[in-house]
This record gives sequence, C-alpha cells and structure tokens, in this order.
Amino acid sequence: MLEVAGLSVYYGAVRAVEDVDLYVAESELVALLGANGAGKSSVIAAILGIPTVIRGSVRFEGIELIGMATDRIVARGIAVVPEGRGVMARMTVLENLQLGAYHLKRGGAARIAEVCERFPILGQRLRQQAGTLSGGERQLLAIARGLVGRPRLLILDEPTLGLSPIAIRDLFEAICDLHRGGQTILLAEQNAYQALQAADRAYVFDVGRVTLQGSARELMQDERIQHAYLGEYLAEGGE
Amino acid sequence: MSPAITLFLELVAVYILMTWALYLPFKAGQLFNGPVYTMAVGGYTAAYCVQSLGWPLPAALALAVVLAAFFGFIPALGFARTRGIATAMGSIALIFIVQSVLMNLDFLGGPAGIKRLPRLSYLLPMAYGFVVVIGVLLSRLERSRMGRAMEAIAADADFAGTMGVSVSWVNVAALTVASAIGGIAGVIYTFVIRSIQPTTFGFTLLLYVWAMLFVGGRYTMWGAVVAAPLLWGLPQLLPGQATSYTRIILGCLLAIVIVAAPNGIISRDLVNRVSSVLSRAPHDGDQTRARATLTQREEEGEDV
Amino acid sequence: MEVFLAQLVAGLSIGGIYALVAAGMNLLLLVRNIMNYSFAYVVLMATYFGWMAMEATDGDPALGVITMFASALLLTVVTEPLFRVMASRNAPLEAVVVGVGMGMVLTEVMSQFIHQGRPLVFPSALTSWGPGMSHGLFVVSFPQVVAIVVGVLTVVGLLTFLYRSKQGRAFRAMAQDLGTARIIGIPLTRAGVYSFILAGLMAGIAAILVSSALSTSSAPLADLLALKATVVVLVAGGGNLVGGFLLALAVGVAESLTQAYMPGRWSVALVFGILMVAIIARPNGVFGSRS
Repeated sequence: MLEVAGLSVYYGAVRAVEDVDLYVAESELVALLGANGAGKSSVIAAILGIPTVIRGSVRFEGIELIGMATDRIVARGIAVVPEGRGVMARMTVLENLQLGAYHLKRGGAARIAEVCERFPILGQRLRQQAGTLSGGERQLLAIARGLVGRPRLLILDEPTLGLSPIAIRDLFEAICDLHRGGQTILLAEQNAYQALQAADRAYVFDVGRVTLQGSARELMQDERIQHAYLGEYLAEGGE
Repeated sequence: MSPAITLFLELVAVYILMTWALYLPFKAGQLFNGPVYTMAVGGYTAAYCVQSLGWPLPAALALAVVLAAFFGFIPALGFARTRGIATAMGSIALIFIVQSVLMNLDFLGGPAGIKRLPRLSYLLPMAYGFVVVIGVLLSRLERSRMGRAMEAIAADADFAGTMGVSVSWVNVAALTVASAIGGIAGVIYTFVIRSIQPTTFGFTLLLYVWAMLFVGGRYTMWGAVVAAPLLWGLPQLLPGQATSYTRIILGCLLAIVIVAAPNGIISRDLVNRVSSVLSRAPHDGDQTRARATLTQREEEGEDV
Repeated sequence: MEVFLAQLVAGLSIGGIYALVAAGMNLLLLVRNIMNYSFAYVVLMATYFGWMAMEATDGDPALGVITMFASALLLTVVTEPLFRVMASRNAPLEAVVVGVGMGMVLTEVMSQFIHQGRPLVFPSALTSWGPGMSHGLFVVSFPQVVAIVVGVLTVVGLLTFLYRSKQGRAFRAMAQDLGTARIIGIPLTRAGVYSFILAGLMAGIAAILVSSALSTSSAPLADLLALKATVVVLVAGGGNLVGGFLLALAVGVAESLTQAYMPGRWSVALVFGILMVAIIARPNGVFGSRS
C-alpha cells in the first residue's frame, strides 16, 4: 500500500533522513523504532509532504505523493495521529471528531457515531472541552479523529509519549484491536518492546537511516535490539 | 553649491537619520513608528525655543533631543512587554494622537504651525555631522554585544530571554535611542524648511521612511544611505503633475519589495561580500583552500 | 435626554460599523494570524465605486448597493495572495507595512482622482429611506438603526458560522494549532481564500452601511476607520469576536457622546489615548486572546 524508496529529507542544510526504503502492505502493522531524533517523525512528515526538501519516492496505492499538498494526501486516505496528539484543546470532543470528517462528503455524523462505539469513553464526553481530558483519553481522541475519515492507512507518531503505564496498555489494546479488524497501521514508537509485540514487521532507525529491519519476532530476538532497547526489561527478569 | 542641491542634501540627511531611527528597533524585531512623532516633538521644541524663547540653537537642540527621547521612552516602557504588532499599531496610533494634539495647541501655532524660522548657514555640515556620528555609533553597535543581543531577540525573543538577554531593557533602550534620533532629524528638518506644521508628521512621512528602510535593505544600516537619496530624489525629477502619483508608487513599491525582494537593495549578503573584499584578511587563503578540499571530497562521493 | 438618546443611537450605529470592520479583521486574523490593515480602506473604496456607479446612473440606489458589494468582495479577494505570502513567511509586522502601504495607495486614489478629493455625499435614496424615526429632539435616521441591527446580525451570523459549520470549525482549528490543522488534512490555502471571501462579504455590508448610515465617505474617514478598527481588535484581543464587537460598540458610543459634550478635535484623541493605555497595560488584550 505504501512504498517508500530512497527517501531523503533535509531541513535546511541538515539531513534528517537518508536513503530510506520501507513498505507497508495492506492490513499490516509496521513499526518504526528508534530514539528521538532518529528520523522516524521526519519520515512521517515526508509522507505528508511537509518538509520542503524531500528526495526519493513515496508511493501510496501506486500514486506518487511527493509534491502533493498535505490536504490532498490526507484526502487520499492517510490519517496521521501526530506526536503530542494535536488535539484542539479549546474545542469539544465532538468538534475534534468533526474535524476528522472534513473530507467526508456525507455520512460524517454516522461515522462519528461508529467511532464512538469503538471508544465509548469519548462517546460519554462529547460535549466536554478536549483540554479537560486526561493524556490517555486525548490520545484515544486523536486516534478516533483519524479514524473518522475511514483512512486506508493510519499513522501513529509516538502515541505513548507522556502516558501512564495503564494508559499505554489501554492504548495498545486499542491499536491491536484496530489491527485485528484489518486496519493498516504505521506506528512510530520509542517504546520498542510494546511496539514489537503488536507489530508484524519493523524498521529500526538511527541517525536518519534504517539500520535493522525484519519481522517483529526476528527483531525481538535480535541481540542488538535486546541490548539497546530491552536491556532494562531483561534485567528485570523478563523474556 | 546651488541652493536646490543644498536643500536636497539636507533633506537626504534628515531621511537617512529617520530611516536609521526605524532601523534600530527593527533590528530587535520591533516595528516602532515613534520616530515620526518624536521628529515632530524635536522639531517643535527647537522651533519654539529658538523663536519664542530666543534660545541659541545648541540649547534648543539639546532640549529637543531630551524631550524626543522622553516621548519615546514612556511608551517604550509599555511597549517593551507587548508583541510586535501592539508596538507597531500603538506607535501608529501615537502618531495620530500627537498630530491631533499639535493641531489643537494654539501656543504652537495650531494647524498653521510655526513659521519664519531663522536661516542657519551651517545647517548642511551640521546635518552631515550628525549623520556621520550616528552612523559610526550605529556601525559600532552592530558589532557589539548589544547588537548581537538585538539580533537574537529579533530571531526568537523567548529564547534570547533564556540566554540571559534582558529583552525588555534592550527594547526600551532601542526605542528610546530611536526616538532621540528622530528628534535630531526633526530639528534639522525644521530649520531646513524654516517652518513646521502638524500635517508633515503623518502617514506620508511614515510611508517614505518605511520605503527607504525596506527598499534600501532592512538588514543593514547602509540601505538607508542608498535608499534615502534614491527615493527622495527620484520624485523630484518627475514633472510636477506626477508628484500626486508619488504616494501611489511608494505604496506599491513598498508592497512589491516586501513580498518579492525582502532583502532590499543592500542585502546582508552584499554587505558581507563587500566587507570581505575590503578587509582581505590574511587567513582568507586558508578558507579558500579548506573550501576547495571540501568540494573535492564531495565530488568524490565521500560522506561530508 | 432626547438628545442623549439620539447620540446613543448614532454612537451605536457607528459602533456597528466599527464592529463589522473589526469582525472582518478578526476573522482574517484567526485564519491567517495576520493583521489586514488595508481592510477598512477596501470598505471605503467600495463606497467610492458605489458612488461612481450612482453618479453615472443618476442616483440609482440598487445599482449603487450592488456595485459596493461586488467591489468590496473583489478588492478583498484580490489582496488575498499578498497576505498569503506574508502568512507563509510568518511576518506579521511586514503584513502591517504592506497593509498600510496598500491603504495609502487606495487613499491616494480616493483623494486625487475621484470627485477632486472632496468628501462624497450619498443620495438621499440611500441615506434617508425607510420610516421616519424622529420624535421631538430625538432625531435619528432609519439607516442608522438598520446599521445597528445589521451589525449585530452579521457578527451573530459569523459566530454561528464559526461554531456550527464544518468550515467554521476548520477556521477555529487553524487559529488554535495551524500545524496540526494541516496534518489532519485541512486545506490551509483554500481555507485562507474562503476566509477572505467571507471577509469581503462583510466588507460589502460595511460599505453599504457606511454610505447609508454615515451618508458620507472620504479618504480621512478611511484612515480613521482603519486605525480605530485595528486598535479595537488589538485591545479586545486578536481573534476575540465577541470582545471586539462589544468594544467597537463602546468606542462608537464613547465617541458620539464625547463629541456632543467636548470639542470635536479632542474627542478622537481622547478615545485613542484610552485605547492606547489599554494596549500598553494589557498587552495581550483586555478580554484575552485568540481562540
């Protein structure tokens, strides 16, 4: 569904991403792993056409995205849940969801109702100001907003940032649920263990390049991954 | 030197000073239009002191500058904490208020203003004396810590604050000095024209000075030196009827330059290139060699 | 007492016009984060076009109104690309300079080339229509009352649009978080154009009100309108529609009342002075900032 080839992203003179190849097939959950600043968010920004200097190719369902305006890319069926959630704090939960329906010609209200069934906590708080929600609830709202438009590809950028462990657990439940339902997902995460548990495949980023890739299971057993990301977990006696 | 040329040069000096007066706060990221009304304050003070109080010019000039600075300092205290837009609009509103007040103050001549001021034979050298002195001070400021602090504030005020720059005080200082320069320009202007009235100090003057700042080059002080004679001189060369088009042309020119050529005539690039040519520093050779090596490595495909 | 009431109505009607202009500027500020200083000049220029149309057709008010409306819309939309560039560069100060520059161009056109720079007077078909509203010393014109009503209705309409329509929500999202608005797929450029179209409509309405309720138009009036509307927007807090509306009405009333009881030349300076103090004392607006 999504094919990225030879992608390089520059912010001014700084090269944030260098010669990255990756792909996401339908109904897959693909994870992008790596520390902050490793390039994951820049790849996502490039898919959306945000940085000014992008080289290479990003093809979505056969169409080249580079050079296309962001709103048209979103209209083609890519929804992004941005880092930091990007929830409009001074608008109500309902209004935030309605923003997600911007590109729907009709049936927005019905779609919102559907999404609220999946996330009942949002359905209960439709009239509340989004700023009063907890971090975990806001993350769910951001995801729900993305889902309203019936995206072919849902991209999540660091959804666990700033969330409590319980909220993270609920979050991954929701993500896995979506995955099981057939939603294609691209997930950028620093939380490698949880991400690998949920994902089918993953790419590991470092300093703007892909340094490792493979199926989630392979990567989980890779020594380098264990050393770099799972060290703490293993030290606590996990598997 | 013919009187027409003398007049032209004297007014160019006034406009250079006024453009510098706007340039200084702009360097710190503020669009402060105060110099337009402090020019009025300075001019009126000097005119009144010389004509009605019989003061000698130096004394009148001194008081004019002090008052001009004061009338910039007080609003500056308020503006220092505001966003750029509030300073810009607030200072525009002040121009208007000062004009209204001047029109209504009968002891200053009301709408007719003050006329028949004495001719001063040394006006031209005095004007350019000020230009040189202020020019030198300005260029030294650009290279000083204060100058860098101002540029830092212009780039990102909050960040500059965290780096220990006292944003408020730099702003207040810049606005006050700018107002003082405006006052000096006002004094010179008043004695060039030998009269002063409120209508001068309004939007037309503001437009001229803005045009000189932005067309000349907003990032360097030399822009004023080029733009002032240009923008003041060209309309003089046009036939009489065309002068009504001057404001239209200026307005359009301003909009076009800002949108299409924001760096103006004298861009920072140009200044850097000229100054590097002029200085011919001894280690220039090293720099060129280093750059050549870099290019060569890039061509060989090395990761730079 | 009757004189006082008449002054009050006159003040409210002028305030209604200020409110319209301020609301248009607030809308553009919300969507593009840029002050459009030339907006008031566009409104006045539109009245000039309407006047010219009426002069050419011997005072046909319908044609005048249509011309004003169309020209206001056109002029506003034509200036949109300039402000789009300013917005993309994130240069609010330069936008003010560009706005003032354009305002000067329009002022010059108004004061040099149309009617030899004399203030325009609009035909009575436009300025004294409708039922008489006078009662003894209470002398107001129907258009003045209409100005108040239309001003209120337009602002209410704008608020309804912002809070109940898809595009309105998009505008508010852009005002709150432009980056996220872009990421979730709101077309920023198109939304910007829409906002200018909407503002152009409001400018058209304002132009009609100016010509009928104020019954005069001139370049100095444009300067005053621009300055006052901008100061109102700043003091009430950029983007604050309700606050700007109320403040605009207050300014209109304050002006009208002080003019009756104080020499004309001082009253404007006084109102400005108060507003200036407000800007300086509460830099981010008396009522709070954008939302």
